[in-house]
Amino acid sequence: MRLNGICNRGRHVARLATTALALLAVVAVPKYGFGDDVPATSLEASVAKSTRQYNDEVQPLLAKHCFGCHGADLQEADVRLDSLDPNMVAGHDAERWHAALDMINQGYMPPDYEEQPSDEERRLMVEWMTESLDLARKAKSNKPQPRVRRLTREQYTNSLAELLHLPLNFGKNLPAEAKSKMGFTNSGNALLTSGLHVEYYQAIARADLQKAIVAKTPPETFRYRVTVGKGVGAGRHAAVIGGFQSAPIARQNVLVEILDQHGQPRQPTSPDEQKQLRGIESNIGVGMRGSSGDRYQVLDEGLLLYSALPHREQAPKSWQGPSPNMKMLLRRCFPSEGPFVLRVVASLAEGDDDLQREGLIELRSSQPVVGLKADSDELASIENTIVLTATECTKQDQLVARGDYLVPQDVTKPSSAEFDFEVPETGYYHIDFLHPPASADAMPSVSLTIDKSAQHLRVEPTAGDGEQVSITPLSHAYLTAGTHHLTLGGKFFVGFREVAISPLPSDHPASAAIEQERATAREQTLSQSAALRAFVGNRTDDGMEYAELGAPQVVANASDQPATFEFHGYLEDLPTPILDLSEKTSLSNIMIVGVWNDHLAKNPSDRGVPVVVKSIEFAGPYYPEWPPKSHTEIFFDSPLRDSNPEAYTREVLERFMTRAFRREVSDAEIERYVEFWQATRGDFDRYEDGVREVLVAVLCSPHFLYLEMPARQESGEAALAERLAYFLWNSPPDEQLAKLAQAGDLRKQVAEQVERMIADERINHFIDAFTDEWLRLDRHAAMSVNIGAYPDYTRFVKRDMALETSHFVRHVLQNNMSLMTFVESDFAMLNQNLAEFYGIQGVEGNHFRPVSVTPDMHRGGLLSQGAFLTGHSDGTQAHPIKRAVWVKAKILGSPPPPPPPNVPELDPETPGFQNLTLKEQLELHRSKPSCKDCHSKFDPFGVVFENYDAVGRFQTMAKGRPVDARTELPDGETIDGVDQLKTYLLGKRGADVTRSVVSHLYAYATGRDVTFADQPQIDSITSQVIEDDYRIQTAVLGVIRSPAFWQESLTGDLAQLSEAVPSPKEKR
Amino acid sequence: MSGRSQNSRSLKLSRRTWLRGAGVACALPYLEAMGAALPAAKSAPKRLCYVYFPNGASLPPESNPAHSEWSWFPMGEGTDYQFTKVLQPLEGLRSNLSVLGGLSHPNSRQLLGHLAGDTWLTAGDLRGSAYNNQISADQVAARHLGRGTRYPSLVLSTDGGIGYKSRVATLSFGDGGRPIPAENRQREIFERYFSGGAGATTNERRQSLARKKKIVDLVMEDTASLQRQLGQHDRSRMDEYLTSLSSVEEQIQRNEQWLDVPLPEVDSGKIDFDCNPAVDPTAYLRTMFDLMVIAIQTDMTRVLTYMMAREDGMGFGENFPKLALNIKKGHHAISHDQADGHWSEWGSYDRWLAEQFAYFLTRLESLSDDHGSLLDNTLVLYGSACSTTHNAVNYPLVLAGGSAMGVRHGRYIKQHEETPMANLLVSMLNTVGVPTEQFGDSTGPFTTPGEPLFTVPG
Repeated sequence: MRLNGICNRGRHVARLATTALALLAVVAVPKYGFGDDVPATSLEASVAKSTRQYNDEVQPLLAKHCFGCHGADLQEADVRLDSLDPNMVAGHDAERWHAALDMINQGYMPPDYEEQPSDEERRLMVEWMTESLDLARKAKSNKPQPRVRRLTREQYTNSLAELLHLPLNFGKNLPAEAKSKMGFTNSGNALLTSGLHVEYYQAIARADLQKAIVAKTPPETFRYRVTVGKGVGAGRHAAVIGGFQSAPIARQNVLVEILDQHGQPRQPTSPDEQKQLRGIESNIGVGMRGSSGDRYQVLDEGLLLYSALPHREQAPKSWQGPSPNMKMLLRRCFPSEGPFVLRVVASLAEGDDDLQREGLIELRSSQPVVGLKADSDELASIENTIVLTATECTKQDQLVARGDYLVPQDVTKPSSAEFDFEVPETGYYHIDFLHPPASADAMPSVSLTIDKSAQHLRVEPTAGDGEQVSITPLSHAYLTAGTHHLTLGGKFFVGFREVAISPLPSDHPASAAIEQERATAREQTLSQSAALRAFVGNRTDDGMEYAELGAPQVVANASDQPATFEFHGYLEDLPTPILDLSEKTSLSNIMIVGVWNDHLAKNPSDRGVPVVVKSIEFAGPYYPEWPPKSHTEIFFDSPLRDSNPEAYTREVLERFMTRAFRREVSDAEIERYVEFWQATRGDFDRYEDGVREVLVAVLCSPHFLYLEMPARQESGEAALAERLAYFLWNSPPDEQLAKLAQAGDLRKQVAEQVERMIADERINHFIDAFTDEWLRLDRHAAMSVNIGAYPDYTRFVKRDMALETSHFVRHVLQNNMSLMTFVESDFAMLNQNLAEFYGIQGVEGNHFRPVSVTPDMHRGGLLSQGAFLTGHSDGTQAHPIKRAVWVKAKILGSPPPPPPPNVPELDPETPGFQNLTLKEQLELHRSKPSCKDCHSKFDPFGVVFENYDAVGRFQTMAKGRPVDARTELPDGETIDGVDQLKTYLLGKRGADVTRSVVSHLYAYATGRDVTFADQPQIDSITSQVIEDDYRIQTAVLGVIRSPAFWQESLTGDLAQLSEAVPSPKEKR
Repeated sequence: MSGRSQNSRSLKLSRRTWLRGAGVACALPYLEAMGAALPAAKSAPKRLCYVYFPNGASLPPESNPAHSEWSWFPMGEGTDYQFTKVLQPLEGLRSNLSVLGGLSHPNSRQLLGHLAGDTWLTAGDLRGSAYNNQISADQVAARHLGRGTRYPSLVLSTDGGIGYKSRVATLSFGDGGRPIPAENRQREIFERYFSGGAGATTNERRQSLARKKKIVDLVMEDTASLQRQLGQHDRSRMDEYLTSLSSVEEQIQRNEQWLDVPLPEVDSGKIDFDCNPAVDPTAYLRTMFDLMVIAIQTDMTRVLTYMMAREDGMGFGENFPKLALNIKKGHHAISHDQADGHWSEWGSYDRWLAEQFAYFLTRLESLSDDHGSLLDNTLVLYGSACSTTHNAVNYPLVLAGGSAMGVRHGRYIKQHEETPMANLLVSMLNTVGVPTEQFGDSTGPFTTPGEPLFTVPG
């Protein structure tokens, strides 16, 4: 089935120079010569000769040296040679012969502990394989390759989006695509079509044409604005939505307005309308759930938001958004689909010493101040600590006494205990509370309010049987001298025995932290900018389900110059609630639209660059023009429109079909659809609906759903336009490409067009699809990282790691850099969030940009990027085998064979196995002779990554010992760590790396995996790229000009082909 | 079909809130149906169901102290066997199931275990480069059992689609071993099979079917006319599209025939259709089993396959141990692990899987139709295509249900390691009334010393 994967074979020409010099001459001057250009009539004769030679000379040698391990009895590495058909032209085994040749040429086979063939024997085997393969290649190049293939899910989505002028995720419900061996979903052989596809194609077309083609009058728009500020809502109506861990903004501080189409507050004209508007106002509010009370504040002029502190990725629950996040909550009064706009009025904040404002301060250190007496579970008394005892509270609700504790009667209901207490001196305090042990199932929580400042915390569940009282620090606080009011409780309240309020000791870690923060905040100037990130979601019992809405927007305007920031989206592609009006509870049917300050902070002491949000407005469905473009591009203005519906329909169909089929359509084709329209139009009341039904049929036609259809082939250039567009844009050709193709000028201008296409925004579709599949970024997306070990690996770090790699590849491509940049670069593509995660300072803001890196940062090239390193770990520690296989398959282009069946167990119980480093564990693995053969060939490529932990951060210690990243490569070279691997790859393997990139581009561009027959083309492109300083665009153009891409559409022009691509023989 | 189409909203299903009595929702679209209620079938329906888990099972060697505690296979043999902690969740169903040891597909024994997953229900031969997989047993059954139901089969997996050759994401394969994409979006599944055209009248639904059919006809004509212009290779790709079109056409015809027959009203309890397998796998798996139960209850189909996770650490399943049990490693990593206590980790995860399966069986057992408990007329096979990782022999298998079809449960039956698993597949097909003597490389029906497992019901 495979020796070694199938890409990048045929390196033998280059390889021979380094491994078997003596053979070079032999191959260059073939003894037998049946691989020479031969007329077709003598092909049979050549095959016969080759077969004879196999039987007489080669087969006995293979039997002597190979069949022992790769024969009837044993199939090491899943390879069996004795049953291969020696006729490579008629048989189906050329690919496997090719892999075998590769192993012999690379010196891997026979293994060095086996008897080696003599030079003459080796020459006979190699020569026979090489020449038979040449023969097969020639025979194959005369055979047409299958070309027709259907659109992938992404291509389908992009094609519909362009065609209908609707940027929706059309394909999301189609079945996931299969992958080819090289990993590509656009490979014709991997793309399967089923009844399920057909059903979905029709359903999607119907549903989405219904969106594109609109009614006469626009739908009613839901348009609301919430304004936040001290007292702005006095005397008005607004929803205060509570529930588990909720933190609503008080009614008097929120002004809810229902707006008309001009953006003016609606004025009721009747008592009924007034009642109706009041009903809506009472279902709109602002919530701060998930936000720490000291990271936001209601000011006169708006809501102050510190830079958001990402939420801990605590699986499986507790998704509350970063802290703080501001949510406009719409209960029952929202549209379920369509475009919408979010307008946020905001500015930077004025400088302020927030840490000397009265109220709670989130914990800077979770070290308690009080403790228990050594001999009992009584509280050890500390001087000046104010102790509030549960049983002595002034007021309580829903609590019952259990021993010394007060605990809730029903944890699902809110409960509370209240106290008044006297603070003798203004200053910083620390608050601990003593509570009964709690299990995780009870979702133990506590809400603390002092005066008007509140915090909601999860209490860490007690491990084990835990009978003893627990002390949990609650908060710090800045309190002025005088009487204060404290409330403890909430939903899922854990209960308590005492609350201890102690002056924050000067030697407590929080003291220093707060002082430091105040100093930093004072220094922070307003020259910095923040950013707003919008999100949309729905409320869940334990948090929210949400998605980010586009890119964040930079906020740089001063506090006296509030500006409006607009965010757009489509509700159907976002996780909004499905409206269920039969559900009456006050916490259901809540849609969330909100923002946070996206200048992400790394710890609670970092206030970042605060912003003030004055108001948020939501409007949807939102159509700046009516009817929208999606409609008018189908039903365009024409003199025939009213005068002659028949002729107009013909026009409409011609235009739509030309775009859908990506070529000119014939009158006969149009006529079929016109007939269909005539036969079905009677079923529909409205003209547009009747035409829509025809368009549904157009979108189910194979001419739309399949690439490389014969009608496009006939018009030659249309096929080239399509091929270029789906290669570089993963989308249909745009107008310019279509026009050039129509005029027959595209071939002449291909270089200019490729340059334009690479600079175009749509190149991102290529970057996303190609990078994801070539580099297996899906593994990073699917990785569940152990958050206990890596608490700062947040969803934002994860997102930015994926972006780092795609930005990097795009940067290399758009700047036509050397392919060797993939191995090592003096820059990294970073934004602030990721740079800080990697420990690189001085990168400010959200946007990705090339950042100069020095070698001590260990961040150059693809090999040091988080997406690869994390995706190829096990979530807790580095995984050398995964990383090694990736380097071999993706960077060097020679994937190792799959693990054999029936892997013998390691010694079933190796004592202390888990205390060994992975490198040592691997050595144990390799000490088994049956594993060693293969593993010694690729393990070293993973061991060198030991310096990178499971989330791609550089480490010098692992498991309490210094990291050992030294290894011996299969060719005997000893290297230490990734830096030396990079040097080795650049120095000795540059051609292999180039060939790997070229092969992957080639497979992606042609929609089929590379086979041995493609090797001459791959070799030729590789040489061109190397000669041109490894430039990546030369590789892209080389692939485009290769016969497989270029010629297959423009049959019969073989003269140009041989000019463009010198045969490998000439090159030798 | 958008997840948020008009239909879905009129069903009033809310995200994150329990759907109370999906039975009511099921019945909704058919309230106006004019036809007489479906007469009770004369003979009991016979059903077949397959449920798969990847990466083999925890099998500590006998010398290891963990053996008696964490071995997937029970201790002892015959009727006198004891479950270890792993399959202990199935204890209450003992009289309704048999544990089968020793079986495997001969063609796959020398393959990497992960690859054998492609052949679990096909017994295909993947040793060559041509990837000669073949039709799966469930699809053979679907041809017979599907004649009297709305859909021939329901093909499900947690990951959806087909995965790729050697690491599939579906258990079902059609003619020539062509994989059938599995469905995995639960709300979509519900809408597609149980609430299509919710709120519409019979006449409206008839019209909508007619429209679908017209379009399929037009596209078929178009596609067929193309064939002449295509080379041989390309023709096969268009053939695939044509085949897909005609399968849809068949299904539309079938739907037309069933149009006047109301979907039986069933009480399916509470179902949450918005479970995310990347967040809460237990909830996701249970919803999938709930959907399968509704499909059986409503006799929507009699053949079901469900691949709970993919082999080799692909897809959602890899993270299930982390999410469900707070184990630090993924499933595939656990299956390779050698650290202290690894057998208990693997065993606990296998136990968790068994708990989910037990949930399914218990639901089937507790519900009945005119012919008794649903489980008694449903033959369910649960298992994997390797024993310990990479060893495609001695598949861990549990056969459950089907007592009314003559299956005699209650034993742990160990087979000789030469016995092809296809023999079991043949006997299962025979049990549900598919008259075949041969499937894949079977050498005959499944036999066992002593009392037979499969008997002709008397």
